[in-house]
Amino acid sequence: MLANVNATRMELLGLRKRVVLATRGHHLLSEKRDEISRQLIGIARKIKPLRKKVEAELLETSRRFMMARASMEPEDIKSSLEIPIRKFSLLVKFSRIMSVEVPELLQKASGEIICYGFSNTSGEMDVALMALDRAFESLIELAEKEKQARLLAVELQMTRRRVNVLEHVLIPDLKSAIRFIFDKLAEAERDNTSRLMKIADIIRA
Amino acid sequence: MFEMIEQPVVNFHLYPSVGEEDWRYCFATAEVRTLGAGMLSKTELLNMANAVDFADAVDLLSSGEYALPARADLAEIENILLVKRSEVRKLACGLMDESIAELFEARDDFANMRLALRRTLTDKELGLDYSGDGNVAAERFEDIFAREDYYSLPFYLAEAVEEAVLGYYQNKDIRQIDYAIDSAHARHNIATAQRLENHFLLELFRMQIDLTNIRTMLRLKFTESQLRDVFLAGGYIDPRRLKHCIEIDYEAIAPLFIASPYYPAIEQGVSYLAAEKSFLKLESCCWEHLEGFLDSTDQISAGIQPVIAYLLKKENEIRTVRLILTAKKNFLDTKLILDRIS
Amino acid sequence: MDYAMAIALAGAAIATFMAGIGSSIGLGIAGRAAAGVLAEKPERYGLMTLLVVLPSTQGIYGFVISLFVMLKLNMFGGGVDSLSIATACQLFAGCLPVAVAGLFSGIHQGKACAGGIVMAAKRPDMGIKAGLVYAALVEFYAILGFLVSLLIIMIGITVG
Repeated sequence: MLANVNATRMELLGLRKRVVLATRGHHLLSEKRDEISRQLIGIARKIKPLRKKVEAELLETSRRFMMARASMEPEDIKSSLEIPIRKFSLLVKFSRIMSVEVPELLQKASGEIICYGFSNTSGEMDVALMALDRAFESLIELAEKEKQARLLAVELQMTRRRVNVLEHVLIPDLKSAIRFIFDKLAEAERDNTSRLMKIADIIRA
Repeated sequence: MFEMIEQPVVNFHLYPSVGEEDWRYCFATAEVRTLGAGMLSKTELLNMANAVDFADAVDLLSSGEYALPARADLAEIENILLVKRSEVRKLACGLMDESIAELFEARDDFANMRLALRRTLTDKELGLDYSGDGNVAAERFEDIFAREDYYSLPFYLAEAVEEAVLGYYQNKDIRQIDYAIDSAHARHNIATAQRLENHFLLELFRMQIDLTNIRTMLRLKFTESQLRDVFLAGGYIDPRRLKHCIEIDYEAIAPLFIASPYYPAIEQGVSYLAAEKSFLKLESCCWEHLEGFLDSTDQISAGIQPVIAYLLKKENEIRTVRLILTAKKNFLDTKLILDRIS
Repeated sequence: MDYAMAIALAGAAIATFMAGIGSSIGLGIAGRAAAGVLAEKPERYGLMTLLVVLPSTQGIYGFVISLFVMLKLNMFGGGVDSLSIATACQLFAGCLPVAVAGLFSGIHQGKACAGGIVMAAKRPDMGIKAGLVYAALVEFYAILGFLVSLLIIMIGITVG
């Protein structure tokens, strides 16, 4: 930075303007950073219980599935589960949080989850499928929240880096450049003054 | 067409009589009794359920007929047990009259048909991965469905398939296939037992229908389903009573059956369902009730009854072994296993 | 005279074939049951054989009674001179106890043996204790039939 600075008054004025701009930018960015991390914490807070719930439900489901599967004959399992009738559609919408595009997932399910007759199937399977159905809703919500959190985290990191760059690199650099130019100009001034004085002396002499 | 089935009346206390002795089955009875003596006892199963881990449970089996490789994974075990089940079925059906053996083989036909119909009606590949224990080979399905020539199937299947297809096209609901086939299966069982004038089979099928209906009723209630007309006809319990049960509280269900033979099973099963939200106990109680009837075939020293009892009990034993091993492999709670098997 | 001989011989025949039918049905039942057990547990052969042979005695009783009738008629020594219809009927009646008792006790002993065999499949120790004893109780009535037939023919009737 320092190496190729034109020590001119024009440059000095430009640099001063840039410092002002950078300071304002720094200010704005650090505010943005604070806001994003606030939002992020909010989302993360929601994720934790949701995740716990989904995990518990999935565990329960798999346990019941295991029991149902073991207590039913294999051919019955195949015929009852192979062709499901529950239809599931997922709509992805984008919304903005702090100018970050985050997806919002809208789900729509139709049809019964229990897609088989009752004679050769186990009641545990009903329970498992219903728990799965419930878990699925939370699962989608969890996916949405986690994606949002991830995107926000990336944005947060970027913002923080920008703030840091402004704070620790750009602004000090600019300031030192200003000082350098200022010094250089003052030097030139003094140089000029002393030269003029010298010339005046010579003329007087 | 199947004849209409009238509502039978319970005229016994806990179990109906097992019927007359039939000395033609002398050999068969002696053989299944001998085989039955080698079956896993309740204690052995409980020991397995209480085993520390999977390897321990397999170890307990190693002395008997279920010697499994120690490092077997679940798929392998399932295959071994399936082979075992086929052997048992072949043996038992070989000991029975053809007309009765056909009844038991038909169970697989109905299961296969359910899958085949589901695949055909939803335009999926038919495939060949069906159970091989039935009367109709899987290779014939494609041809039959391509030509819609259902009457080249055995009579009982043809009826069932027709009804299932009709049911499906009424509102394109795939579950109608299952309901139609299940009810056709139950009717076929009852009608055949009546035709053969086999008292034991008739009672057995009625009991199975009742137990299935009770389970169905509680499942409908538990899942808050709106379905009502899925009960099988031909059992002792009037479907209207079952429909009424769906509407009432859990505590009020068991007392309604106090005069029926199923009271103990329903009472235990329902209270477990209400407390633990699980059907494990109900299923094990239902089986226990049926097993009690099968055990009462010990009263006679020759007949088809012990052979049928052996077949069903052995099948359940294989199921139980699979259940315990699966549960052990997946580190499920021992209490769950115990609830299911005892 | 000829009719009388025919009636007496019919008695002898009935004693053998009815008791024989009883025995063979009984043996058939017990044999099939034993075969069923042996199909799975060949090492039980000894015990099974014991239970299977029990119903065979009725046939032997019938056969012995037939022999006595024939001796009475002196068939091996040229035959009797005069046989009244009444005596012939007496001989015929004498054969009935062993014939009928043999027929029914044979079948039922066979079933009892089969029951014992089937039970022994589950509990070998009880096979001897209960199976054999219960089957032997049926034998008792076959023996009664045999004794009554024997007494009637040997003591109750004088030929000629």
